[in-house]
Amino acid sequence: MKYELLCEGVIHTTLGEAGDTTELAAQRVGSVASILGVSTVQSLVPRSKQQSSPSYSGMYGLGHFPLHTDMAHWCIPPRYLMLRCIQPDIRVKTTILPSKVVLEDEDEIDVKRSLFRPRRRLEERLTVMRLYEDGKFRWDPVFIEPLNALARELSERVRTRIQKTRPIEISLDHRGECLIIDNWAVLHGRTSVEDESSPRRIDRIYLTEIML
Amino acid sequence: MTQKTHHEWSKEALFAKAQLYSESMAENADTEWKFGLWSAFTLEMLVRGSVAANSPALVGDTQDWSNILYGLGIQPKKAKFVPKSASISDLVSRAEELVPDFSREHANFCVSHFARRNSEVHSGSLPFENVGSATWLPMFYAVCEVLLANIGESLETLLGRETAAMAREDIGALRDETAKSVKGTISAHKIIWEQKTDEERAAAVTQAEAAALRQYGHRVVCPACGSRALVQGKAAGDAKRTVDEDGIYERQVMKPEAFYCLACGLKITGYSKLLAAGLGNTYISTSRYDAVEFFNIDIAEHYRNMMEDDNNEY
Repeated sequence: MKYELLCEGVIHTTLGEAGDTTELAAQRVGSVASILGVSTVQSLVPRSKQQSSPSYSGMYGLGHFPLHTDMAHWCIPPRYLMLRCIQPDIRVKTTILPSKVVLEDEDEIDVKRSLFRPRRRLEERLTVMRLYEDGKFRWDPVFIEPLNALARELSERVRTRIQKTRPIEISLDHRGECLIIDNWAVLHGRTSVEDESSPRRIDRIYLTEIML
Repeated sequence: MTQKTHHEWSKEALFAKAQLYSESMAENADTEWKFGLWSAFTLEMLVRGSVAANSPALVGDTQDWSNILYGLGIQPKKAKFVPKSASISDLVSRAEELVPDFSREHANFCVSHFARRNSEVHSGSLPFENVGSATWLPMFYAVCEVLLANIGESLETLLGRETAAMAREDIGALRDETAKSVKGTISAHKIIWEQKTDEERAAAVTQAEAAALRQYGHRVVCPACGSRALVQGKAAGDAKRTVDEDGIYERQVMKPEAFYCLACGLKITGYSKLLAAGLGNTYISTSRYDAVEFFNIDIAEHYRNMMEDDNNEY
């Protein structure tokens, strides 16, 4: 399989024969995650804002999606995600930023003592979490909130670094073109969609491991 | 593998809570009652977390086994089930079993600190107000250090680098202080011993020699009077068993917990004090069992099983 390493933790490749489903294509490179309550393959299409929806599409609509890691509000988020182009729109790009940039020069002990929580209860409880622990990085500007003073300060520094750093931008221009992202190490987002009738359709699938 | 939330009895969840509580503790001066109260809450979370480090199921109240199921991550079928964790005094006892360096001295400190906490929240008295922190803070830090090690954390991740450095100084000073006080006790006993007559000393030595039997503890020489005395300890790690033709031979490494000399009356309790007195070496406790005793074999039943099957037909 030919692939390009966009940065540490992100692979750019093309997967699947014509007519292959995204799940079949994903099985060629790794193990597909089975997550209770989450469809194995999720079809991502530009949608207008809906105030009531607690999703990025609902909150940001056609605007740009901020850099984040998927399910950052879970105590163990999915390890890898694969974005596979089903219908390209070269005007819309996926943005990518390695987490190393975000936590640059941070004191390891301070990061461990900076406590965050999901903005809402999950499974009727709130779990305390950290931006980096046990090899897992997480970030979400909305779905997680700082719980103590150290976390509030760290959160501000992270926001500033993200604002100041230009992410890698890549558009998936052909059907079957994929990005495989290490969700524990890399943030991703999306540029804005100019036209509501954009045909862009991306399939997303989570993987537990990658075998290249 | 993905997971939405930590188990509420997991070491991760409990340690995070200890971190939050320790921050509230640090917001107060160490002479204020709030400092003491938050320290007790912090300690409680660490005791729970260190027990949970083995399994969250060990945090459950054993009165209802549904709590064990809940601790294992299995939702009990019992209607209106509300999970209940064990009382903190039970958990201190469990920590004594599970946390390698958590000694009787540490357990005693936890019990007395939790008693102050109870008095603070259940009575009108102010047990933490205006109490010199020097009387309890060094021991508090020493206990935290032991519990944190079992959780895989450190004083730094609990308290931050600056406070952790001060805590380590306090722990060092506590060890020096312990050593000084033990040495004082030993010399006081030595003086009293030397003031006894030769006959009194000889009688006491004979009595101590007769009482210091191996089956009651580990035989050592008393640092005050030089007589035979006994050290008792608790098991450290798993017992090593070997089987030979005479039965089962068990060797267990023991960590000293208490010393008593019958001749001069010197008593030392707690590992740190024993260490300071030169009595801190671990020792091996050996036991021999025959197979019948070890495996609790019912010989009569064994014989019955060797006979033909019971038959009441003819």
